[in-house]
Amino acid sequence: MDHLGIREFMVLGFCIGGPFIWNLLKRAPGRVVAGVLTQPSGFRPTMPDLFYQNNIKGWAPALCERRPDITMAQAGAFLEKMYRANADFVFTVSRDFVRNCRTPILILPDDVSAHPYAVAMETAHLAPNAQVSIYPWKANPEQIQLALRHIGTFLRANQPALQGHQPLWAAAQ
Amino acid sequence: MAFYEKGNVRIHYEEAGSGFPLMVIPGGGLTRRFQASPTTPSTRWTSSRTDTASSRPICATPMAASPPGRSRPTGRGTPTPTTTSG
Repeated sequence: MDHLGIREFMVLGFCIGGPFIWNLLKRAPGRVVAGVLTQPSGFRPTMPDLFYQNNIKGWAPALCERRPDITMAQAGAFLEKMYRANADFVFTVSRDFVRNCRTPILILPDDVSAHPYAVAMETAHLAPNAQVSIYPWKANPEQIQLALRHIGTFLRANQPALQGHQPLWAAAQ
Repeated sequence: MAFYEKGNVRIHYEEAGSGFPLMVIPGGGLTRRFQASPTTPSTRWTSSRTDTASSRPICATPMAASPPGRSRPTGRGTPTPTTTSG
């Protein structure tokens, strides 16, 4: 976003985008105006090594075949840091961080192995300005339309007023 | 197709629409790509928002790092997003 001259922004993330958004909120406080976490990934205690095992068997060999400059050891180290170093909750931040995060958050839970409903709901309960959309939200087109409406309403409600607000990207034009 | 590079990190991103910036992080596991099925919720949503011109979606996917001294293709090419899974 620095590259694009953008200081403040909203963010919408799917799947691993959830943990990424929490990390953005930790690393760039004051820049993320609002976040939407859609089917967020999370740690499931009953399947503690799910992400590492799935990716070391599926993603890593294909990557190394496509990119001979990358070894399986490197891919494994990447996965180790990503999914085992902090194997809990949302992988990227602590419960205390979420508890103290005042950024408006909208969460659309899922409940497949990699997207535990319990973690999504825990973040919703912890974050003081979080709200939850419908669940399930993608079983049919009508549910998706309701979810889209909720996302759009949430983002519009949290978008800074453009009048008097001149982010870097606007100032540069 | 646009890329941002810093050190051995390369990020493929696309920009569309206008308005207040919205970063969109696609899902789909470590093999994810921007151009998901047109029926996926993410694609529908991004298209919808772009049409309203009330936001400025920016979709970014980090690329696999290249080892030092190894050049990467630039400009138009086939991206191989290789980051983070869900």
